[in-house]
Amino acid sequence: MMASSYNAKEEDGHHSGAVGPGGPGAIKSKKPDNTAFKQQRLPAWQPILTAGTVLPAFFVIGLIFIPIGIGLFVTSNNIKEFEIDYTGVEESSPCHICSQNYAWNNTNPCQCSIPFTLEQPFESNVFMYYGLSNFYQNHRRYVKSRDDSQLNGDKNSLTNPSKECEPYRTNGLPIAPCGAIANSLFNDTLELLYNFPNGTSISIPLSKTGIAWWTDKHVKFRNPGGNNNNLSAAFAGTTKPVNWRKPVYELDPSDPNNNGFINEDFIVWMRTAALPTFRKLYRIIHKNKDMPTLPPGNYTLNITYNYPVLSFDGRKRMILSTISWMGGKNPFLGIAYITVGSVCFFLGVVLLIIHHNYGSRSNNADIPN
Amino acid sequence: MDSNSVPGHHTPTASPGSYCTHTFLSIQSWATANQEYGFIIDGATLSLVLNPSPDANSSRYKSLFLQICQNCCAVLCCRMAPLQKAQIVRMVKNSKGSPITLSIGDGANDVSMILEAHVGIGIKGKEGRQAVRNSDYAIPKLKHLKKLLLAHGHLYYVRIAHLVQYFFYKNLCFILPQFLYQFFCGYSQQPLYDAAYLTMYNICFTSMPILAYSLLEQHICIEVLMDNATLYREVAKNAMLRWGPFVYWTILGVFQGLLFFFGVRYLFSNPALQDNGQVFGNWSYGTIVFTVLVFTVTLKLALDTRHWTWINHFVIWGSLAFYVFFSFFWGGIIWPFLRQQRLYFVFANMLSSVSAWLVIILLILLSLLPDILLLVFRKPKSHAQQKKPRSPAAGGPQSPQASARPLLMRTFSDESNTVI
Repeated sequence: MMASSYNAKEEDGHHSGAVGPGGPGAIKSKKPDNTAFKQQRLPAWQPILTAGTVLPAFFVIGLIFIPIGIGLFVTSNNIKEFEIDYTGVEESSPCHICSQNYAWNNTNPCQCSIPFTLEQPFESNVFMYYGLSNFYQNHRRYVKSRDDSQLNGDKNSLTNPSKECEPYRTNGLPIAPCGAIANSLFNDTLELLYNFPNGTSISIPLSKTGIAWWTDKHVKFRNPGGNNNNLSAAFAGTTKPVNWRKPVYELDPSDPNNNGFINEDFIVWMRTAALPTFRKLYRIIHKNKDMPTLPPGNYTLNITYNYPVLSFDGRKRMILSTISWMGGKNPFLGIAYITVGSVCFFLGVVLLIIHHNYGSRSNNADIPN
Repeated sequence: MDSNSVPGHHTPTASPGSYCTHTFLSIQSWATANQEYGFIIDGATLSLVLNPSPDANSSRYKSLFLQICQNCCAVLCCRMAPLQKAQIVRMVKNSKGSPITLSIGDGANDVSMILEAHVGIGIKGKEGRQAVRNSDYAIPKLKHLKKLLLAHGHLYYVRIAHLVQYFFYKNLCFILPQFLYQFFCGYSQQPLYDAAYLTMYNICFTSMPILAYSLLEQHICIEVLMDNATLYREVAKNAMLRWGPFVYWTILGVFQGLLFFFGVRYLFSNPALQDNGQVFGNWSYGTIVFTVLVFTVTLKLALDTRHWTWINHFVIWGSLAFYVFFSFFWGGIIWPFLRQQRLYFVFANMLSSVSAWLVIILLILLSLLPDILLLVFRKPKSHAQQKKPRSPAAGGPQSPQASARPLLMRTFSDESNTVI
């Protein structure tokens, strides 16, 4: 409802002893300007909340939120997710030996295999994640330990990394990529095999591109030296991070678009996670034309166990998940929407009852300021 | 008026103390009969009452005098020296309850009184500019006191009180998620929000709306305030800054801070929020919380604003638009000479996720729900009172009901528009 309060009445005041304007030596009047702003007379709209406006709003919100919540909940329930913890803490785990024998510069990487069974087929694109627990990628000293201008391909920063990278800044030569985040790059290799009933297995093709943000891969992270294909020359004068086995230009020699700083596994790792228990996208299994992407049956997960987590009581896991329009499996949003929608609807009903019983008693239906 | 006047002028030979006591006791007995009293005292008598004398009882006179005055409806002190006027004001200021005093005068002999009171008002009268020069507020005529007090005074109080409460509230909402994040980041003081957001929150994103509110808000419009002097009582005794309102604002801030943080925390139990399977990081987390925060505190102010001028619209919607624009701008380019590009494309990427949109809308609505409910359920002020025509101010037989009307309504009629 519009209630415009425009008051044209002017308060009169005396100019005590003031000479009229224009006269020689006129005393400037201290009277405030007679503008609408200064006299608090601006035209205004005063909202008047009547039962008529508020009640329908509650019902409308309830009626919108509940279907959204149901949609979210049903979608989340239809997402298939499968998780294996392969840290190897228990003695019975196939990866137990690997977890115990750790030396970071092992020339013979430890391998283990974990068999598992999928009960239901996974349709459409299947996304393989690796998950870590008790790993604080959001620690302040860790988060700031990077040099984005070096990662953007800046020549000066390549040989003179930022001070924030200390103590992973130089190791004789400047380190590229510098910093603690890069140094702790996740380097387990995961492979998926499908076991046919007759005993043979095939390796399921895992795509390693499309896992990092497009803007990260194409804008934020650039190799030094432009599009020069000779990356080892571009990185001359630098050394690899302390805990890496290979230098950065050997991350993926087979694909020049995935080598060096623009390696997608590296980019995914550099995007620090928000919480100590997190997952990061590892590979994508693209959908098949005719059959389900992952048919039900026996599978084997082959792990090259390079990454040590037991020293800080962390856990590693592999997650297979389908994705929907809302992302991964998370019933929280659906439940939250259903709850809030129901609460609003209930409040609307309560208000309706109150208004019906008591509102008609008062003279006006105004629900005032 | 049908109240009794108790003259305070007497011959100096009588003992002032016994007279005062007698009068006070009389008034106490009369007070139960629902009578109103006025008290008249002149300057000479007042000097005997207020100034200490060798008489042992002299210290009691002052307190007795004060009690008489507090029980009277009106006290008239005439022929007073300027110093005595100030003494009276000081006496009332120091009385029990420490009331806020206001004095108004137009002459040079009023200056000490004007200086003494909490609020001093000078009238630009025929007696010169001395009073005006020493006053906090100057008005041309006595009749302007009505608007100054009932309209402007009331509005200024409401605006300032709301400003103070709002500032604490919005900072509580701002900092609580950051504090809670420490429990999830190893207590390492990792900020939840990007440095640019931390810097710009208080000044750039949330200061203009409350500034416009505190300049322009009229929770009840000026005409209604002028017509209903009893509304002034609503802000008596610092009503809007007492424990009650403060606790309400604090609890609201804590509730919203908890909601923002944990709402996004449970969303991030699976950080793959995009439909291409890609994962959000910690800066996306902080940006979602910050977006909900800025929108909630601004919309809370929008709910509180009852007087929407074009300026209010401009600053409120403009602040929100500025936040969105700035986020796109800040995350839109790789900033040269900066070693960290934390927020590059984070905001735009967040907006490409349906789950992020849904959680933002949900959290904003849930945060504002208590305020909306309070708005709806609040006890109606008796609008009937405001719509009744004003009773005649003076003359004619007055019912006891009418005489119980507060003094203000009787004094400030249009007939009394000059000081002299």
